[in-house]
Amino acid sequence: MNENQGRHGSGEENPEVVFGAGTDADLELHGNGEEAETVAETNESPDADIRVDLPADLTEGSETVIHGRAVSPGADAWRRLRRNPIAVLCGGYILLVVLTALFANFIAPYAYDFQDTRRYASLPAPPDHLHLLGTDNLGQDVLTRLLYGARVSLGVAVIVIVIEGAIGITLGLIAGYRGGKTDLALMRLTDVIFAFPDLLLAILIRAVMTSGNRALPPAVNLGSLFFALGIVGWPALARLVRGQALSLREKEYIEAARAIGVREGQILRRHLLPNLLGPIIVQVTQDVAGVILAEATLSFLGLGVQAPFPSWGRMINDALSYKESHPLLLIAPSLLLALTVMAFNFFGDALRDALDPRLRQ
Amino acid sequence: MLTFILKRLALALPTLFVITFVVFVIARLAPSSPIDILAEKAAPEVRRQLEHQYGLDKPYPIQYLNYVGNIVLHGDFGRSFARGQQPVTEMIAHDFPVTAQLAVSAMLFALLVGIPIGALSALNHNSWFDRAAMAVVVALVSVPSIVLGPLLVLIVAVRLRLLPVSGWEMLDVYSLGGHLHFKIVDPHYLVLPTITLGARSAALIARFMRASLLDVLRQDYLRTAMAKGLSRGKAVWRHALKNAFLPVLTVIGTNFGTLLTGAFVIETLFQVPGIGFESINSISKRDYPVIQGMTLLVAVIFILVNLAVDILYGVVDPRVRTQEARA
Repeated sequence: MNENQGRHGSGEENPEVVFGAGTDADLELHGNGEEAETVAETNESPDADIRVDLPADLTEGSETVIHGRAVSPGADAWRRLRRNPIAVLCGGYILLVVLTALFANFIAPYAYDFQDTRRYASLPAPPDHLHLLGTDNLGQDVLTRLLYGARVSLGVAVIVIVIEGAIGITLGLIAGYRGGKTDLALMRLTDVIFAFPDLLLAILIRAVMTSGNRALPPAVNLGSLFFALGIVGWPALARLVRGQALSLREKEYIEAARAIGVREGQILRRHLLPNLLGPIIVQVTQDVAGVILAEATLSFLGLGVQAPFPSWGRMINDALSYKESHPLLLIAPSLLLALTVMAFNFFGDALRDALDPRLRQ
Repeated sequence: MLTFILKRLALALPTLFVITFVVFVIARLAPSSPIDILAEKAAPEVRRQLEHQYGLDKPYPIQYLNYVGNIVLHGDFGRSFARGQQPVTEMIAHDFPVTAQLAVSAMLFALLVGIPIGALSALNHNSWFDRAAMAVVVALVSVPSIVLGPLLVLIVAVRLRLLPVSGWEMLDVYSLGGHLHFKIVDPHYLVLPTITLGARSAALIARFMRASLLDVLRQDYLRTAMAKGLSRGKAVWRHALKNAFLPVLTVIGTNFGTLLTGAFVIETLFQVPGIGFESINSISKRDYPVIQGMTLLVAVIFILVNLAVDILYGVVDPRVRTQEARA
């Protein structure tokens, strides 16, 4: 491996010339890489699925060769996923929640902040033909609030995942690829965030932000919620990506890319990241469950999404006062929250099994 | 052994300091300064006087050093805004024992339920018991405590009326003919919060115990033990369980933090007057020195518990120590 690097390195005094030479060098490299990969795979386990371990940029480059033997890794994983009944069940449920979140304004019978003044008596009302799940103590339709709650839960989850993904993946890639002191410094940073148990840091941030005399502008308020949840979530992702990058950077195709003078950013984005997508997708799916739960917990404590926006967590807390007279008010959001968190967790597990069949044993 | 412990301590200390730094910085992010909250409509002179009194007119680095210095030297976490300048340390001393009782009883519950279930599942691998137990475990890991708690209350307390819905009552216990007097919490009030708080940990411990014991059962030394004539039961009891328990130890460490944070939710849910309940209450009173102090306390305890687990791990398993020495 070192020999290889040395040869390329000394041969190319000016890396840009290679770039100028263009795709020829690139193609040649892919061919070499593929050979090395295949050999390595067969050595480990003769009947293992060769396609799974192939770098993504490589499968793209030499698609025809691969197709001669079998389907792409993505299609393969999809096939395995479809055969798993739990995955299908959870996937179907998740799809339903996503559609509800997207089209809440079409499905919901009322507006999310509509208060039915006919029955507005500062007490919840049981279900009837106007309100299928009854109304809460503010005369708001429970079904409507539940449906819009899906939008709030998933909306927060998506934004927070983007934040923690941006931080976690970037820092993890850099730490894993550079190694040495950069790695040490970045991992110390993640250790510190990890040193706060669970949601504690998010609770502290939100408590401080909402403790002022003046009401926060909605943008600042929501922003600090996203920030609080994102800052708690990224270290797990960073650790995962760093571990994977650490082992991948020793692979021949990365070394080859480095040898022909590909810039670091380019290596991270085009060569490392695509090969990490599998584990990242699994982690992110389970993080969605974590973020939904975290938002619900913060809202339950009064530190999450503020009125009039509905949140399952706050609906649970509000319903506690009426648990003896109107248990449905408590059961409905509880069930929805538990099912949603479970669905994402199980789907994440199933995804992992589908993407890496070797883990199943 | 001593170097092993000292090394671990040396690693934990910087983390502790960075945590005080993070907590300090977050408090400075607050949209309103403490003075705004203390003296909303005070004249500028009064404000300046107050700022001087609390050291808020000094540069941030000095403020930070004062903050850490007060904690380390005087155990002073600052003063409550809302409760007439009551020191946060006093409030912690009052509320923490409640949280500690809850967290410890939840951890005991998790261990007493999780370890036997995990061990029995592993010993009866793929039996109906194993499958049923793992199905429950998988479900419990995913069920949020803000769902489990209210549902338990609804069924056990509201419908069946077996236990109180919420609250916290102390009992006076006299023993040795009335010479020894102490207070413990009425167990009736402890049951539901303990189960709600400990359920997830119990499930995680069961899962880890099962995986770990399955792994140990495949080891050569267990086959050797049985080959030399030990019955399966004896071999498991003498050789396997102790080794299988080691990875579970780590789970206990990381889970203790979850229990302490979980206490914020559980105490709010069951109206248990611990640090979580006080902290959440202090938010509506804009009393952030309280939540700041209690957060720091929980983070420090979490680090210390994990440090203790780390060291314990080294004590129990000599392999960890030698690995450390070689590295």
